[in-house]
Amino acid sequence: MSFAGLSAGWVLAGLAALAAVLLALQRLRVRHRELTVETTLFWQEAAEEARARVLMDRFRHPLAYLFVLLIASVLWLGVAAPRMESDDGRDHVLLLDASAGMARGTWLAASRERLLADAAWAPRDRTTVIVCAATPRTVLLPGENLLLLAQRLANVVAEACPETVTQTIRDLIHAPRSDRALAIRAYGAGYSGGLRLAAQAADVDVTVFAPQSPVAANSGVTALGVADAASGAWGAVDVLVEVTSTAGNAAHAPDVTLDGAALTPSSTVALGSGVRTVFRDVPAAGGTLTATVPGSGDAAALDDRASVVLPARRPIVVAVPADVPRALLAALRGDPAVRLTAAHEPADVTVTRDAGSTAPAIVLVAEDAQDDAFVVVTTGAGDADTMLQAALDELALTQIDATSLATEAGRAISLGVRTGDAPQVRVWETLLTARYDLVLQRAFPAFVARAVRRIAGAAEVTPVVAVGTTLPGALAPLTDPTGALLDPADGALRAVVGGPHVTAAGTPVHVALLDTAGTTATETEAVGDGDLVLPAPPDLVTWAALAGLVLLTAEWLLYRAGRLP
Amino acid sequence: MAGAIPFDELFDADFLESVRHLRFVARRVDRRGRFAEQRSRDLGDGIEFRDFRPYAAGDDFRAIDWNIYRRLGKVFLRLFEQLEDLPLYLLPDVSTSAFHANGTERPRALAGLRACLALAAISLNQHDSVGLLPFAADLRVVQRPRAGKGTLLRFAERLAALQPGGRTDLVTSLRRLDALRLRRGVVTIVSDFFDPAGIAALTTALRRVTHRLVLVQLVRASDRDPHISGDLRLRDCETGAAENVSITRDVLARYRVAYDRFDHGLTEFARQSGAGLVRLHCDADVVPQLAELFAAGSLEA
Repeated sequence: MSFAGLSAGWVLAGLAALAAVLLALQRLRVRHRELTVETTLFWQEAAEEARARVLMDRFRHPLAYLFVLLIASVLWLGVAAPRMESDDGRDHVLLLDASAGMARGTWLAASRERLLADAAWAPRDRTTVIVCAATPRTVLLPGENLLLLAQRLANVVAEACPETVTQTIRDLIHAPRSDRALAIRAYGAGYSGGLRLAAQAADVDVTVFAPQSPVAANSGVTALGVADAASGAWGAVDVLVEVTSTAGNAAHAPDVTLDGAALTPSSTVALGSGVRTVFRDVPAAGGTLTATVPGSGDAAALDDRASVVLPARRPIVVAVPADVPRALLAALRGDPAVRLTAAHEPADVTVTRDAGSTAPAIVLVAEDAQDDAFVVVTTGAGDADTMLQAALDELALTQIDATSLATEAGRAISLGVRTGDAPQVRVWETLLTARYDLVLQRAFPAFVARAVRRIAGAAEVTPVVAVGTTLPGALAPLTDPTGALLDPADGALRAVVGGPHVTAAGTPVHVALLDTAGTTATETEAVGDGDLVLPAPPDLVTWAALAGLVLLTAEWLLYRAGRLP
Repeated sequence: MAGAIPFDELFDADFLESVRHLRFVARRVDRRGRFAEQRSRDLGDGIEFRDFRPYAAGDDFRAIDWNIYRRLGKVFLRLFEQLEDLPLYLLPDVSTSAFHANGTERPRALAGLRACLALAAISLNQHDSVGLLPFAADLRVVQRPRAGKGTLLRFAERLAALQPGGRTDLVTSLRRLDALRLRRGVVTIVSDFFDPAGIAALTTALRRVTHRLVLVQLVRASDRDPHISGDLRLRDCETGAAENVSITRDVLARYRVAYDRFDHGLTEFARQSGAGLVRLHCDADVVPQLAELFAAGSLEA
């Protein structure tokens, strides 16, 4: 048993204080009510006999004290809100799935109701409740009052996001824990990933409560991705929209608009239970692209519509002097993202030989003026090695044959990084002449294009994939401290919700929209004893109030009978 | 504490009319009384034959029994019972406790004085004499025995004029009564008998009274079963003494034992001494209770 209103220490301290205060009150001198009578002749005899029988000098009414103490204790316990709970010695974490999939039918409401019922039995000091929405958030910490939980869960609604229960289970398993075993109880659809992980951990038990209310057929947007245009056009992107339906229901191609104007798909491919549509060369002008499932109003509304803001890609203005090296000029002219202008004109990037320039620029320097062949100037501080590695990747310098350049120059070809007032790339001017074969290498246009984009701060388009998609690339296996494999994920990297923290082959990948299971599931399945129904715990507060009432009645009857003063 | 009982509350014609049919009957009144209706120890001019005695010089010739003289040749006188009055001495309790009342209670003195008035009316109605000797800490003579129906109004006025005062000291008061050397009659004490001296001292004093005694005990139901509770400081209205009492069932039981001891003592005294004992409930009408006392319309004193 624990107390929802007060800690056990406070309860005991309160009981002791009540006993002490009531005892002190009993020992105080009685304040007598004055009453004038015809004679005290008979009272003198009665009182004389009574004095000889008192237990203590002033502690005159032990029965009255006992009654008052009992009544006060019962009321105090009522204030402390005692509650029954089952204590199996484990830490308990209750996870309420608030992803888009839970918006169907009464899944969320049923799960919430069941969670509250189970939480009433859970040990209060070792129970945590987490709402797994787009960002999992803890709504009840160990020791917090259960009344707070009901209030905090009252406003929880399903969010337009994939399920995060599996990821939360993963985090719980790998987070530092106490020596006690961990019991995780999820409320929602089945979570196979988390269960597989839990099966590998001996001291973790995962059960799933599945709300039992089958839902109707459903279609939803399960993927919405934007990528650089395959055509190479700088001011356009390619968009992929995927619609998935529940088994046995035909999926229809989505209605896609850009700022309200309908777009015509370049290609449409029918999948097993869905449709994948690609829109090519969509203008990247910062517009909002919206995909809508035709005939919405099905079981789940959250996945019927999805939107993405396309990147705004205007031409990068580069100011070049008249005597700019020809190879550099040719590379700039061949970049579709670049518009050249004369020197001294307003530009995003300037090509200059002014070593003291503080503007965003490609600075051409003499070999003897700079030790490193390439110097990347950044405006932010950071770890030098990290910045150097990032610069190598960003400028495609790893693709350059530096050995031949070093042979030709008779000195090392190196890359330096420093901070400055504006982003710049400083390079020996001689590297851009026919003396070296840099301009002949295939990576040279890439180096120029990336240098210009980096200096101009042009938006990159990050590839977007749907949640749950298996990405190419090896995944470092997850192991426990003993080295045992925890995540039997087939060595493949699975996209999960949360942003660009997932990489595939070195490329940051965004995760988009809902998981397919969240759209296609129509029934839930309990795991473990997830559907085990515990009887409602007795309302000890009410019982305490009733006990107080009974004691008060008994005291009143005894008082009326003359047994109590 | 209440003051004197108003005359209007004490005296009304209906009340007096209701006691008109009641009578005191004395077994035998003392000598030297005034001619009235009670049988006395004196021999005189009555109509009830009592005895014979030899003639002595100076006797009234009209009393000689000539039939005896004719048969025996000796002169005897026929003696007749003398009818005299019965002195009734009313001793109402005018101590502070008699006039005390809590809440809606009526003071015991109201019932007591009405009883006195009723008894006085009965006595005066049968030509007896009535004296008024109220007592508290001591006894005083407000009215010496006086007869005559016309004195009833005067008697009622004196009753109404009685003022509460002092503590109850019946022992002293009875000693004073004895010192008055009054002609033997009926002493009627109307009181609650709550004498601080205790029941033993009280009965001892009562035994010394040479008159016929009638005790009219003014009682309430709450005397034995007080309706009080809690922690109380009970203050004696006469002595001012305080007694702290926490009312419990046990305390109440002990109180009843003490009260019963007092009550039993008074009853035993009456039984042993042949005194009359009347318990007059103060919260009820006086006349019906007196009527029960005067069984068959008369009370032998």
